[in-house]
Amino acid sequence: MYTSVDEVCVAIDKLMLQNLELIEQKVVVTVQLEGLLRDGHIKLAKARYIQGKENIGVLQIPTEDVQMNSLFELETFIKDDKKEDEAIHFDICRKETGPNKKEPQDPIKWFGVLVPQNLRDAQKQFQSALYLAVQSANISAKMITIPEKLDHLKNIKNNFLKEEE
Amino acid sequence: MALHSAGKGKLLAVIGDEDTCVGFLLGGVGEINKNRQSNFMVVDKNTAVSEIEDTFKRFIKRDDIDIILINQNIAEMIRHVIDSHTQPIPSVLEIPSKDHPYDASKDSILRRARGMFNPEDIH
Repeated sequence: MYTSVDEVCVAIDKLMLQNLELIEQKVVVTVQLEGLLRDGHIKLAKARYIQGKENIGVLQIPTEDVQMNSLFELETFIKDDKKEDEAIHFDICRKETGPNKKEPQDPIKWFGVLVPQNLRDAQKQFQSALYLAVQSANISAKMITIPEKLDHLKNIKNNFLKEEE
Repeated sequence: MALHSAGKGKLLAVIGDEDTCVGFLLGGVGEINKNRQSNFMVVDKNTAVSEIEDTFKRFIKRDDIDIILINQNIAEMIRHVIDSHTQPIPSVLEIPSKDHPYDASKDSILRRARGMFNPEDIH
């Protein structure tokens, strides 16, 4: 695998740089997410202004007596080979609706039939935020694996150094 | 290299203030299963910290939840629980809320990643 201490040092440097890149990606994605959520909150506030304060809130959300189904489904992939860059990958998509499957109710209907356009816009913003959140989770999954790899490389480096002594 | 699916039809969970929960539930992440367990929790100013902790721990134990979205200001209240969760699944994501902008220096995962650059560690 590694034949000299220099090679191990290069690998450690690469891992450190990768870590920095991931930190940057994570911050960029989270800032984008923040923008989307901010827009979503503004649209929600506008819809609340049009429809009335009490008509858009937690009171319209079904209680635990009613069964509710998610419109999205998350798929998680695990790579068998942990030497690769990432061990876990998340993927999100809309639930498939076929002729045999019952279509889940659109949550916008909780707030009435003729809802303001702003509420529909808010829904779209929050749905895009979901995709971005999954992207952010994928970056986090990559980041989590790095300290373990780094410890492993440091052990190899220490062994080389001991041998040299 | 093999890539295998650990399961389809997993859920995202949300722990947040009213607007964050309403927003994401409007987006369509909400699910209440046959056992009347929901995948969201609305936190207001009267919610006890222990209640948030219990819900967070319950979400971690559930095997149908793979991502937990939590407002960063709420994550701050239960920071010790979040820091002790080191498993990759479920992935815990700290998101900004309406009143509290995102602060990268508080994020558990970023703090862990930055810890690698400790001067004592580098040799």
